[in-house]
Amino acid sequence: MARHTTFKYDKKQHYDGKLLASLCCFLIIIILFYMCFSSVSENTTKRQKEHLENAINRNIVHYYATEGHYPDNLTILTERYGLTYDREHFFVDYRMQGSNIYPDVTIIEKED
Amino acid sequence: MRSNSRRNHMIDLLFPIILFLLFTISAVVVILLATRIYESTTASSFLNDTSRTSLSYISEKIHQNDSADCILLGTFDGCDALIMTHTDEREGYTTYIYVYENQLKELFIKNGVTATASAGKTILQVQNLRMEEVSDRLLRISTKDANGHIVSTLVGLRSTSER
Repeated sequence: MARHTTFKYDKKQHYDGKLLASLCCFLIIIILFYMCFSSVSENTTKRQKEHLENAINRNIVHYYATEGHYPDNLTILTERYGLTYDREHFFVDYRMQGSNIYPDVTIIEKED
Repeated sequence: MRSNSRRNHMIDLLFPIILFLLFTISAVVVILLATRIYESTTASSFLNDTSRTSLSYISEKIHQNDSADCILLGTFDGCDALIMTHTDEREGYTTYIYVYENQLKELFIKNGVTATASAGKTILQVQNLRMEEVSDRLLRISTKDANGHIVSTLVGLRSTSER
């Protein structure tokens, strides 16, 4: 009888250990997945900002080469040159310094 | 009596795992190849676009600032540069257009102020951009496109000095 009880106890302990190991594995996978996701997300935002900066500069240069002066505001670029960007995530500060001086463009990332 | 028809073999476990891995690797390889092709296509089209835009930009810059003896070729911080001095409301300032680390840069600066080539505003990415004086009043600007072909433009200076 005593032997039978010990066997049952061992089996239960073995089962608990397996469950714990599975839970740990599951948690590790979830944490790793979350870390990867947040890293990718952060990297994507950085790349988006870079691409937006390049697109605006390219449009400004293209505008100057075609029109002979720098654009007065950003709306001209969005309306005539097809510039689009996520206005909920980025704020673009466009400061004209003169028709023949390269404008000052600052891109600010909005906080969620 | 127990039947021997359901014996567990290692291959029963390994086969689906290997099949899944093969499928995953193939999918990743296809995605990587597609991104590589897309990247190279956009890079060459970007370079073609920027090489021609840079020539148009410099030509337009020369036309807009073309006043007597105000445009000359020289060097700025060791880089070949197009130097434009201003005689209008920007008098006392100079614009330098030059190539620094494969980037076409522009610097608008007060005369007498020292600055390095890295201080300029990046205009475009360029490859082998050269500016040279063909004759007294003629400049040639050339660059390479994505196929390695040289594209160039000639810009004439119209303004004359009162001599």
